[in-house]
Amino acid sequence: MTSPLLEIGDVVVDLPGRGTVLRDITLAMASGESLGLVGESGAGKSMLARAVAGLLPAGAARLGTIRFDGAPLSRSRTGRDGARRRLGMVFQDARAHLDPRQRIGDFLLETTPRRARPARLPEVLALLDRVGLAEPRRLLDRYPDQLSGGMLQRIMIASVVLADPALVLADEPTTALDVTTQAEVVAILDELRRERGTGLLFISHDLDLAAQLCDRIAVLYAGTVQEVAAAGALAADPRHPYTRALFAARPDIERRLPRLPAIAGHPVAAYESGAGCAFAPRCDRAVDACGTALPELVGTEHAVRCLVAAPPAPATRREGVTRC
Amino acid sequence: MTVRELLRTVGAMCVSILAASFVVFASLYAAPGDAESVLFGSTTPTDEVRAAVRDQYRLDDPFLVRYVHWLGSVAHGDFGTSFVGGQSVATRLGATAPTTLALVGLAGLLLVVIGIALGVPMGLRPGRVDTVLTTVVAVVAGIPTFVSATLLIAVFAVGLGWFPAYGADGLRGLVLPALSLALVSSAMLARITRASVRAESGREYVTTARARGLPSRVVVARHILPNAAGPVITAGGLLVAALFAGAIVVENAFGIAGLGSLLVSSVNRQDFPTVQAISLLLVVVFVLTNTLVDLAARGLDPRQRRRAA
Amino acid sequence: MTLALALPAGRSRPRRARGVLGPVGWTALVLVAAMVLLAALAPWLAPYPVDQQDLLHPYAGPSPAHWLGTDATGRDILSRLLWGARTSLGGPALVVALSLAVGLPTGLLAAWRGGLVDAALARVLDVVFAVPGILIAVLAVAVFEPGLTPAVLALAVAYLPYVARTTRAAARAQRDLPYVEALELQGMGGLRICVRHILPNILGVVLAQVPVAFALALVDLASLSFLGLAVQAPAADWGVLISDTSALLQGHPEQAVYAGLAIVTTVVALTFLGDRLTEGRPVARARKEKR
Repeated sequence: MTSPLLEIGDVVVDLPGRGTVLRDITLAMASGESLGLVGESGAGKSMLARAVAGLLPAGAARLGTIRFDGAPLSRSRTGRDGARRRLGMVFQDARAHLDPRQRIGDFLLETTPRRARPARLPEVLALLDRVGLAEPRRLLDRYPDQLSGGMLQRIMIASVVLADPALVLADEPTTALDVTTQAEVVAILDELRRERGTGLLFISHDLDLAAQLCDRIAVLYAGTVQEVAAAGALAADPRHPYTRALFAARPDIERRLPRLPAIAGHPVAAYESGAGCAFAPRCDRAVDACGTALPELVGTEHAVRCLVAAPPAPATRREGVTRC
Repeated sequence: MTVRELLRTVGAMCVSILAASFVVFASLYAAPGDAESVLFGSTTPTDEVRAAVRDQYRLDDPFLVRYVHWLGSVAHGDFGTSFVGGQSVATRLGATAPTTLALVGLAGLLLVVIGIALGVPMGLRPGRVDTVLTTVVAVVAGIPTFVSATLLIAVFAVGLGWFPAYGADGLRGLVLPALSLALVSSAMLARITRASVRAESGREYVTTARARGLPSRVVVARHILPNAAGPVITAGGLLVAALFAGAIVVENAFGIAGLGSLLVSSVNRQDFPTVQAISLLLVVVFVLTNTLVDLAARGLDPRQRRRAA
Repeated sequence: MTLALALPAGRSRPRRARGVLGPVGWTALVLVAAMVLLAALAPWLAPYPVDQQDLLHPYAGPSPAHWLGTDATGRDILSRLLWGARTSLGGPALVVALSLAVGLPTGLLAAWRGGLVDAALARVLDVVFAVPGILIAVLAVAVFEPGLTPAVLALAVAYLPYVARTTRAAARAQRDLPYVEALELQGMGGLRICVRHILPNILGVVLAQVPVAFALALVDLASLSFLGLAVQAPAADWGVLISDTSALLQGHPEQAVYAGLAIVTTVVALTFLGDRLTEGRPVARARKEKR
């Protein structure tokens, strides 16, 4: 990977009143790459996106380095400062994330200097058309409560694309939408990204969706990255017991099971996990050593954080080596 | 809001005022004190004088006739004749109302300025300053008007001699009364402003605005404050209206010749026409403010406004 | 398509138990209780009779004989404060009790019957609500005569809408719950359901409003006494003690300051207590409903 677009090194985030929610996060993204961040709720996915975007809650402490476009990002909470200018963020619930008093047109052009707005209008209209919204001109005078959630999310995506970002952080952008709209919004996000060569950090609890959309997948559990691999490799050869469990727990039309195999136990947050591997208490393969020390994330192309990780599948020869 | 809704609101307001006017008139009509004994005191009038006075005050008419007549005169600005000194009530109101209006106006200005100037920073910046100010505001909100009036007189008028203690002479005489009148309400407005600003600062659209790189002051001025304004305007309007009730106390504490002190002295002298007139005036002010605040709150919300179009 | 990960995320923090006062709430409660106790025990605690004059020692400063000094006619200020607490706290207590006694049944009736009864009551209460308590009290005093009784009765009327509305809202919410329907189907009478089942469930919410209502009534009643419209001058109500303007003008604000302090302390303690009791309940709920 030459000069990564986003470089996250040893990031730790502590929240006031809760404790550590992210620890030892190390990830890198190449320019134009799409990385899926997958995990259960509470795993710290959104916190990671917020740490990158500079939108951590008040009082949160962040350690480690985050470099974007070569420049280190400050820990301030002011959102997009100078270094974050080419960073865009799409949120889960578009309706809540739009000011109810602001017309759509005012929202889209708010970041454009007043004088430059008329000149920008054709571009805005074209973009609204591009994200699949009919009658863009009439839309500009509407308020958020007059539009559907799907339309609002398209507008949100358009507003992010309008700023011409190098990287888009999408935090569960389709979770609040119904299934058909979900697919359309994901498709739009993907197309726009490919057209413009934008990087995408796609956060989801939906492993399949992330695998379809992203080049690589990082699996998060209890605030730590458990496994990172190319999407195809991960699907074909999940090594971490947690990843395997995630795949096994996935409903499948072809493979009818008497009942869905849920993962035993309940997920924990980083601050609730002990000294060892956070997944150990729920893991069917755990050995004594798992409870004492946090394993390292081992491997380059396909990295796993597990003492007892499954060895590389013999059929597909991967370079990733696991120390057992 | 549709024209129909507007008509309904105004209609409800008129019904309320009418009902209140009836209660005001009826309660004083039913008062055990006899109008004659108030009018003549200990003197015994001749029959002609007595008849003339009874006629002048319409004491022999049936209740409803008197009520309707009173209402009709009031609509024409005629509030009847005072039992004390035989002066027209309207004249007495005219002499005192400007002072009360000036007092309430000044206090209203102080209330809005202090309330918002304290509440907005408290709402925007959680932390130690906010904690200290919240406690101070809670304590100030617990100081009744007549207590603050007395303390202000003791310190600034009697102690330091900066302001006159009693009787208003122009604007300078109104400074302390207005301050004491505005104190409690401004603490209440500060609390409401703080809560509203705090609630809006935590909303997701603020995160969006920050994520888009808008500077803090723009986020505050263009997103947080306009959205937080609704409850503040509603509460502010009602608090300003309530200042008229507070003026009853403050005018008496500072010996200001306004509607409030006239009301209390008229109550003590059983001057019913004056009490009726001032009570009605105050009720109209309250009901009117309630309605206006209601309309303003609806007019300011784009969702509500749009429904009107 | 989504993963079956709907397992509960292990919410560790239980919802805050109701009625937890916290240190501030407890301090406030102790203060209020102390005030009430002082008022109740005034006849035994007060070192002098309430109206015993000592014309040789007007405006005496604090001394072992008179802890808080004396007033213009040499009466002991501490004794007058203690005696004054009886009307200053007893009056508002009566106001709140009366408005509860009428407001609770009214609110229950409106919630239970709904329809026309509800609408009619709402309109009447709206009119009362629009007029501040103090104006209603001034009118009442004009009709009858200055004194504590008309003032208390008028304020009770003025506070009725608060109680009735809170009760109505809370009872309305209960009315729609399945258990009430079940009781009705069993043939239980409306009155019995209201008294035996709905009332106990809403009493907490309604009673949580008592401290704030008490504080408001205290201020209104003391204001009326200050104006000379409720408790009358020789008596030692806190409002009356503050209204002694001649002492004030002669540079002796002590009595007014002590009485003011007593009022402010009680009112602030009551508001803090009320805030703790209603925290996360009516206020927060009202805000949620608005959204």
